[in-house]
Amino acid sequence: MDKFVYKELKETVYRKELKNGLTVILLPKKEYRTTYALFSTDYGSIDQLFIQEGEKNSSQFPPGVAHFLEHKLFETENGDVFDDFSRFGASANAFTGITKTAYLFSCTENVRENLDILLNFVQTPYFTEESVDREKEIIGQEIQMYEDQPEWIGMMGLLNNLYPNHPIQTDIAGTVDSIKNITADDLYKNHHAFYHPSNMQLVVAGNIDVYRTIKWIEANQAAKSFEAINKIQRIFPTDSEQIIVPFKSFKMDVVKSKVYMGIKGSRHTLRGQEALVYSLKMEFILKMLFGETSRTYLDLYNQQIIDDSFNYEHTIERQVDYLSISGDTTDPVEFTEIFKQLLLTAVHNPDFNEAHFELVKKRIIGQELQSLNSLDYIANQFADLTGTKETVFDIIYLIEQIELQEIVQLASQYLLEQRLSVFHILPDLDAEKSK
Amino acid sequence: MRKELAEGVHLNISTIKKFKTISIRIQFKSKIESDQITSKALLANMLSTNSQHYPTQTDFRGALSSLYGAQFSVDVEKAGNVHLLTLEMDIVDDQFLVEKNIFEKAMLFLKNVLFYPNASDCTFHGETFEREVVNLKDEYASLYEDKQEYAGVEASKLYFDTLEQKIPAWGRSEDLEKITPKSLYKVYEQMLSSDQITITILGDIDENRVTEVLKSFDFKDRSLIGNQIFYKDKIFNGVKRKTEYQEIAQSKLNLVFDASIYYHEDLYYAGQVFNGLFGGFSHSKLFTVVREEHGLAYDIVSGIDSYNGILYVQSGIDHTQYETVEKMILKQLKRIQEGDFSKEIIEQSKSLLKSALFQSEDYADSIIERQISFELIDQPLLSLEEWKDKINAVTKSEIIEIAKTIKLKAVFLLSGGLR
Repeated sequence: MDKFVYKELKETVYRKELKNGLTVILLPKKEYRTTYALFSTDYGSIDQLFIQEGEKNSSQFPPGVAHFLEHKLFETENGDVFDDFSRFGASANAFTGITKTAYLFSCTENVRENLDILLNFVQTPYFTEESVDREKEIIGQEIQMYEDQPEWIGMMGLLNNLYPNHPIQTDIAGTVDSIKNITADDLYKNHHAFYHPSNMQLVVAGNIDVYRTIKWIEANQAAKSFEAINKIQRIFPTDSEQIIVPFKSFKMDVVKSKVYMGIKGSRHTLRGQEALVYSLKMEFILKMLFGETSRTYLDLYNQQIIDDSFNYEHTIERQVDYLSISGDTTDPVEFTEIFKQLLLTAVHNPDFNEAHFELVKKRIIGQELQSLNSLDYIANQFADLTGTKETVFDIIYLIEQIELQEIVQLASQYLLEQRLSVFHILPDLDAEKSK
Repeated sequence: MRKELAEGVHLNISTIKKFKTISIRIQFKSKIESDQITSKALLANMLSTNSQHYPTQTDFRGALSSLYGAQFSVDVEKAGNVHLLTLEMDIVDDQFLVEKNIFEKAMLFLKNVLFYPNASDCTFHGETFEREVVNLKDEYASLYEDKQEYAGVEASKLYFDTLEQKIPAWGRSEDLEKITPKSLYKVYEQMLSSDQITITILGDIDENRVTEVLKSFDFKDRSLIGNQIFYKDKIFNGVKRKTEYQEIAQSKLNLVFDASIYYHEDLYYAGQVFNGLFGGFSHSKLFTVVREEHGLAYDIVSGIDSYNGILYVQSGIDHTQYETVEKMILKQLKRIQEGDFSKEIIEQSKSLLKSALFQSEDYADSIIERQISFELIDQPLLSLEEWKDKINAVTKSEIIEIAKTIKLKAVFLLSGGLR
């Protein structure tokens, strides 16, 4: 087991790769009462087309299959997994992202029993056609819930623009129509392809004894047999940052217009530390340009062009690299023009100066330190940092190393008009009238 | 450590070593008055926008950034018959930084913000006031876009009998129009001079550092508001119903019940277990029957407001199914009232309640919230072990007893169907 000591932060991390390929990361925090476990696979909503080793042909699956699989794993041959967790005092949950699916619990007692429940239900698929059909109604309700949320429609609209030919533009949960076609057999095939231990990671953080915990996990895994590590070849359409739809709009029953602007990057193949540093630099760019300490923010807030809903973020994951800016506004055209100008002339922005850079750096470091109180933040950061030696506790050091000049350089390479796309949500005046 | 700084002004210091932060809360407490709710909400926004020392948002947020991204906000909430306005600040514990005295600098910031707001001649700064009024108006309007929240607010309006309870903590549009920069300043002055105050500091910090820095905070004596926090004078004239139609894909059905579940009164723990097995957890009756067995909802959950003695259920459903879902919810309640539930489900609920209780000890916010709750009901803090024992001691007959006090009073349906 590898051990990494972070003396200044008073943290220690243990890492081991088991014989079956599973990566285990343990983070003891003895003063905490909680134990938090996160079991994740490198498989998300975009993984809809792939070839398994030993097979000639690729298989295509309907949008929403990863999320459907996540739901269905909670039902085992012996009933509902939530029941088992409740019995041992654990609250459990799961989520599906574009490149990750994760299962988690938190508890203060019975850590071994709960770890066994977690590992067993995720690694023991059991699906019947009847239960798959019933799940379609529940997920159908979930999809309809999202359809009523303007911010969700907005983000999906922007992703559609930025990735018109790519499965990332399909909704994580799929559509009411796409999930109709999902069968028990589809779920088994996807489970077989992506839930092999070598494609998965288990993080356990909190009130644990490291040596006993790794023994429990090893004993659980040793009792199961897995096939040899198989290589999955995921297939994605050819994409480039130039393939975008520059503009679309959508009308719905909202009170204020909403603008979603995005810029597509091309560094989605970065991994590990490189990806981490890249996303930190993007955070600097966005905070320096539009953060609450920028002159831009104050001016636009006072002119009522932006309000408290204003938001920005950068996302980098396997296959995906984009930044987004969004906000409610009374004049979506003006909002769009102003931000287009700001983005495209960013390197000349007066807020790109050394003093502001140092202020933003303090803020980013401080916020990172504050996040380290949270077991779920720490565990989720590990899940995002697969395939690298760096851990969440290296982030502060990496932030300290970043220099203004690198930020300016990245901004000049990234913020380009031909990669920029805009999505508007406009009030539906017909719906207004019928009220 | 608990200390009285002046009459009606209390300081609580909790030395806890496991966090990388220091949490600071200054809470103002008054009896709830319907005509003050919107003013307090606006005041909270004013105090977190700028001040005399930091006249623009850039100055204000810059000061916080230079304190290593200190988190600062001012929140308003209602708890039964009491109205709370809280200044909240979380800072990095400077033992993890090269720069020192972050706590002292943060307290200076708080002092500046609280005692020197952006005002002159007993009037708040006009432009800031105008901007924040618009901002709050926009917030009221945008409630329409959050269907879950919207349905919750409408259900509360339907349920409550008195105006101060009907108005949400963030206020309402018609009251906003009556506020002026001068009238708002009066509300601020009154709060500062008359509201009861609780200051909470939590983290790995020396008590002397805290008491030293608080010497410069000049809080005068003030009278106590007494201990009538629980909302108990309820009127029942049959079930109130309201349906609203909007262009939505998923309809929301909200039920609000009278329930004699009050924070740390005798049957409180039985009430917690009841809620857990009724709709609070994923092994509950509502989740397993309505969602898992019948696929009638993605979202269905129950909760307790233990200052107001309320049980509520919220669900996201298909509009054609609302009668079926309502009947199914009420049937589950009836089953519990009649004792038709297993020992197993009681044990599951108890074990999750205990787990949540102990897990809350790992969040600074939850620890502070628990301390403040006991301050509010004016009782000594219950240790987690004592609390656990009380949950363990809950019997099936107590669960039935508390279930029998529960009575449906309001049903709000936000329907996506045609009128």
